[in-house]
Amino acid sequence: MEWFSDPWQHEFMQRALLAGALVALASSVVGAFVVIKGLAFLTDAVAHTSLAGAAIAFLAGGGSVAISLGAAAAAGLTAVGVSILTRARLREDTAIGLLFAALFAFGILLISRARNYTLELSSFLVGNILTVPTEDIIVMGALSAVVVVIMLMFYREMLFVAYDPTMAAAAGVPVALVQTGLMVLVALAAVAAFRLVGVVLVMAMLVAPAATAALILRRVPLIMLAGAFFGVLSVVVGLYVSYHADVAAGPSVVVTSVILFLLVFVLSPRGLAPTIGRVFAR
Amino acid sequence: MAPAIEVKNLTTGYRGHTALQDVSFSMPPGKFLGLLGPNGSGKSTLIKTLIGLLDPWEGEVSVLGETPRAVRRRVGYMPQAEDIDWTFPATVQEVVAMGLYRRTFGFSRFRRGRDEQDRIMAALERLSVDHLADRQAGELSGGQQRRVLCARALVKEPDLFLLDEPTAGLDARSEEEMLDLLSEIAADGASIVLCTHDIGCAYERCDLTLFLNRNVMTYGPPAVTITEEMLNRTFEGHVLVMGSGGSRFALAPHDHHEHGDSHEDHEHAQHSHALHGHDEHGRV
Repeated sequence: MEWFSDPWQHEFMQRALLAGALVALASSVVGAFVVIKGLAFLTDAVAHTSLAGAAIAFLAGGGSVAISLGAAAAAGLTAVGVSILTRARLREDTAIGLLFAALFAFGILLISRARNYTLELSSFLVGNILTVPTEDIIVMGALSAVVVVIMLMFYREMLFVAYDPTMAAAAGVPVALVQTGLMVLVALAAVAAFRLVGVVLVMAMLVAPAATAALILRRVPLIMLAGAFFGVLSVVVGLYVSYHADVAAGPSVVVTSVILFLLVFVLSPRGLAPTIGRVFAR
Repeated sequence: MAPAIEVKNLTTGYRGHTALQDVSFSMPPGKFLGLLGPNGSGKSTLIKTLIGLLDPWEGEVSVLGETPRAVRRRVGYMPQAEDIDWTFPATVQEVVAMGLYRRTFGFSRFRRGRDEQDRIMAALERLSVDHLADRQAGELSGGQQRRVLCARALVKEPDLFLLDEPTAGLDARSEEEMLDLLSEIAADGASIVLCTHDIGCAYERCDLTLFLNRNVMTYGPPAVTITEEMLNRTFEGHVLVMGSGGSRFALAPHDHHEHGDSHEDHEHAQHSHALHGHDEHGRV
């Protein structure tokens, strides 16, 4: 029993759980669309480019709120930039790749001016869920709330545009605005997650829980709900593993979420094991 | 009553490429119009202009007496089934609900109202797919998917109904049922524009046929417009007109597939027989 209750005696574990749950919520709501529409590359890119904004805020001597806001601004601008470049006849992956490389390199370039270059860089790259300051938890909560509220308000538009942009445009939906809006929401969710697991692993937080949910559910709102469940579950299990095995918390959350995906992928009714079973039963 | 469609000297296209050149025609309300033409003849461009997705470069377009954007709510549009991503997780009801989209604000629309739900089910019933309401749209057969798309266009009870190849890829029976339904809707007073490659169907069903190839080749009742010469001019010789006894029939190429495919040829022959069977005057 103590094995289960022990970790939560510590305040840093409670804070990590709270922060993780907030991030999991925003990630799953956006993640459903990321998985369905194949936006994983965009997600990875906005997470990395957020580094540029975070670096500027950091070098200007800003605190953790300023760093998060800087990151949000850079990621949001990347999303808008990708949207504009794509409309100017550039392939989407080309547009994403260009902005990804340019801004990520710029971010590292800025951080290389810092005194504790490698230390600061690694805290941005892999995050640290166990030392999130209170201000960061507030920022994560605010970002998550903004993402969830906007998604609920414009769910019909998001769904319509994702399903059939031509028909949505014919019905008077501002398609370009909704598509750009979705990318910006992805960016905000990525920034909420980046202080937790670092820019490199943000993509896993947005993709893995929603992808797990999409294996067993075929309706967008249910994928969002189940994604939140799998996300929080990954955080809880990941924190246990981190506490007892004394390993880094962020990566252990991410590895847990991917193992969950693999389990469901193999065992779900339409998953790998039943499919192989059916093939051999023939 | 204003014409259903009034197009004057319309020139438009995509990104500098002219798809329609100086197109003019007027369609009275309550008619069933067949829009015919080969690949790249501008049929889809014309439909996109009529629903306000493309703006005229030159000329004027009015729909039900107003600009296309102003009458969106009264115009139903059914895209080609190939344009839809069927892997997207959405139930049949969710797809049809999109047809009722209106710009509103607030959280209440996250749930559908009672009235909306009734209209969705009524549209599905009319297409005889109400029993599939909770199924995934992507899991249905091609014919069922087209019915769902048709229900989505129908659910707002439009005064003008634009359909882009609704019967492509359907078997003969489903095609007949779909066309019967369209005839019924036309009889109720709505105007219908049917984009098709099926000359037999246009001959049989439509009040008016418009042959398009960048501009209007001919426009009028099918008995007047559908001639061997017009088929050859519009399709630029890619139509095989065959004679047998007193009647003749035409084989027109299909939009989405290469011709020469034996399955497709068979399909065309089927369509042609429909024309053959109904053509007592030996006219193509």
